[in-house]
Amino acid sequence: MRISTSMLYNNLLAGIRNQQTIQNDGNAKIASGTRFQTPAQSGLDYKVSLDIRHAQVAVQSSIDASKEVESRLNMSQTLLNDMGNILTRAQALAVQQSSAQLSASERQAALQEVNHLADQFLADANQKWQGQSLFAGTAVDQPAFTQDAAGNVTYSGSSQDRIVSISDNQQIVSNIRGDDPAFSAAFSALQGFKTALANNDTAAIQTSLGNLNSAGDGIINLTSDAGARLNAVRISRTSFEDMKLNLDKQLNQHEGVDIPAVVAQMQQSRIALQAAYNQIAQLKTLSLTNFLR
Amino acid sequence: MIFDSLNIAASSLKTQQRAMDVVSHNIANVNTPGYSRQTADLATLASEKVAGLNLGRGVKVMNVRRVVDPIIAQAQLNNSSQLAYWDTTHTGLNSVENVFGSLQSTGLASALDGFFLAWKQLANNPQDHGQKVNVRAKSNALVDSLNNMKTQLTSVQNNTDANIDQAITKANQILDNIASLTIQINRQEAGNKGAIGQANDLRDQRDQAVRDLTKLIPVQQVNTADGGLMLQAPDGALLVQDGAARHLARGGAGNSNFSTIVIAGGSTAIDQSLQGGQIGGMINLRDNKLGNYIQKIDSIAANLIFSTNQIHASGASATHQTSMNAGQASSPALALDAATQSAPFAAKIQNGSFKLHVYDNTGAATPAGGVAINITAGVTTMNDIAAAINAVAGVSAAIDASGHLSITAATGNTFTLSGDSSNVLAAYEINSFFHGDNAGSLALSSAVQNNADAINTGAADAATSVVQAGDNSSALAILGLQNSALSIDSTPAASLHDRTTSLSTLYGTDTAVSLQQKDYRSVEADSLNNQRQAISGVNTDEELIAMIKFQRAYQSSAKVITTTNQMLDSLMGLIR
Repeated sequence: MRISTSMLYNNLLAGIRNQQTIQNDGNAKIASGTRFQTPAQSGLDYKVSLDIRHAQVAVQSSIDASKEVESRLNMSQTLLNDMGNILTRAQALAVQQSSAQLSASERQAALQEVNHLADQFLADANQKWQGQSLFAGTAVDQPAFTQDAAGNVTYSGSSQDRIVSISDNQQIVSNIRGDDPAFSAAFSALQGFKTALANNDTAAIQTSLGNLNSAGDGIINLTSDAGARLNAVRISRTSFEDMKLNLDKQLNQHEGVDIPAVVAQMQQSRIALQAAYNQIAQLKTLSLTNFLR
Repeated sequence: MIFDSLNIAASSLKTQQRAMDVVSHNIANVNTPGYSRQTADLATLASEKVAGLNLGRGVKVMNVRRVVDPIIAQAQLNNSSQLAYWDTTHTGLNSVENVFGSLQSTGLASALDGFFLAWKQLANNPQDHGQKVNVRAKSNALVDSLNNMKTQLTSVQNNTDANIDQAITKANQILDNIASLTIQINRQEAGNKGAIGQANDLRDQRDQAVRDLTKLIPVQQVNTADGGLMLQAPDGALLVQDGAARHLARGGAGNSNFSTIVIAGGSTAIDQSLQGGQIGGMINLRDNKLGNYIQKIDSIAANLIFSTNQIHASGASATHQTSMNAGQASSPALALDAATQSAPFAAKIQNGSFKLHVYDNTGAATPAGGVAINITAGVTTMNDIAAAINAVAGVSAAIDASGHLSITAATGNTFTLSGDSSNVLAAYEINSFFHGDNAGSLALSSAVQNNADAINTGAADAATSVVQAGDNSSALAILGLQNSALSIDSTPAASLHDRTTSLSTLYGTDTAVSLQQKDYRSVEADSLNNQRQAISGVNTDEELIAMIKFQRAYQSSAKVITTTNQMLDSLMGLIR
């Protein structure tokens, strides 16, 4: 093949451009630590990255939502425990006050304590957590229970549960609703006990003891329910945290650059580039012009 | 006879001199683009018969010929057209790379994730004003992202269209130049026979001009024996014939809403046949690439807007409304879904109803459960809706001069809307979250923009009209849109995330294909250029050797003259 003078320079120039492109791409990969940065560099890989990142956001939000549910259920459980303790104390008082040996004045003294217990029970039932009524369903801006002048307590919350979206296909009820029969049974049992004490009615105290036992069981059941749900959410959160770790690893493997391979490629390219520079510098000496005097 | 030697030597001096001129011309043009090396074709002068002997009369330059290969030249035309096409497409695609984000900032994908994450956080704390402010902020970020994408893509699309005008002007100049060169070639070669006496440099210039033209538009070239040239567009439209050029011009609006390209004075659009050259590349970029991307982000926006509004318009929050204004105007006397209605989603209206719940100053619903407003597609007008609302105690409705419906509660009253099964609320942006129908017109509704508490998280109870503060049913439904397959605009159903990632993939694939084609055409161009250089390129070493060769011949001929002169002196000496 006949070679023109331009071809000598053009071929070397094309080679230099190619090697410079390799150097530039290698520098960008090493600087960013990723195989690609834009969809233009690798459309499908970029899509996979977006999918993994989308999943990461979803998993993180699931973890956050699980914590939200845990927080509510934890607080509910604490209050239910407290309510259970109140009922236990009321039961102990009922056992004491059911004795025929006690006088009316002693029962009046016990009534004072039971009044306090009932008030505390109501306060617990109307407790707010982060400014929201815990047991009022979705009526979070209202007290869950209201008490009339006669001391009767009624549920004033909503019949709607507070649903928390954990993930696309997992929604969890994050509350214990005050319209559960266990609450009304407890209020009713406490009210009945108060009345029995006020009336110094031993038989009614005996009846209250049974009601308090039964209400206590109801509250314990609710506490257990909250605890069981709390455990389930914790297990679910652990699973999401594992998924998060896996996704982090997957993203790193997908996007991360093989630095030794890039460095080796750049080194090879650097040698070719240096050779091309050297060749260009020598090209001018390889001309008949230099030999004509 | 001695004088014959002088004449023969003189012819040699003249011929070597001319050959040296050709060498000099070649060396001078070693770096001239499009230059084809020339060779001096030497030939003996016609011999003369003297005394029965055929004696030579010397040498002459028969022709100065340029060395070209027409097959390679034709291949170069095709290649330069395709290279320019893919180079233009690739450069144009690169210029919008930032629109599609990078791993550092994934643009629309992360804005969508942020939008739905904010709704999730709000759904989990619906009574929290701060979460509503967060939803508004993340929604604005999403709106900005889509607005910017549309603005940038549209801007590049318009710039590309403007660049087509510039390229057409340039192409017309080249067409004029080719016609002018053809006239000059014809004049210069007039009377010459065949390849003898060709206007080499003018032909090189014309070949280069045709190559430059093919970088702008693909052409078919037909050369005639007498130096004439005919150029045609791919669809056969004549561009240049001999000394006459026909210009390109912009025609009427085409399918893509941009002006077509026609032959000046004609009306037949040729732009769709331009599958090569910069102009072809720009048309491809403008209509097929950018146009496609714009269509897809408009579709993402339309699905987001209408689907969100459908849920939001039927929702409510614990803070009831005292007034609402429709975001879309209507022709009040026409059916709500009439084709002439300007509301972009009017066609989505169907038979159904929505409920209007009115609350007195104590917050009590009057009546509990609200009042149903019925809509019959093709029949019910905005005037009918206003009349139906006005029939409800405690609220009033009016339609302003521009056709916007407004609903206002009587003093001390409030109201909410719910259960719209007719789509009328979403179509006319009543109680809506978004405004607009595409990525460019997308905005938050003015109510939400002005007051984050206008974001609906729950819904009025169908029986009691009560909206609980902790009700997150609407927020959960909007959150459910995130990974739901949506299609409100007859595009294949897909989730917003899938649509976004598909768009990035499409862009990435288009860029990769254009780069691969550009690289392929570039390598092909290098190869063809090398092949052309191998035949037509100047090698300075070759030329210097030729120079020495002609120099030596010149010196030898001069020696012949000197010797002949001495012979003449000797002859003259005999006479003296």
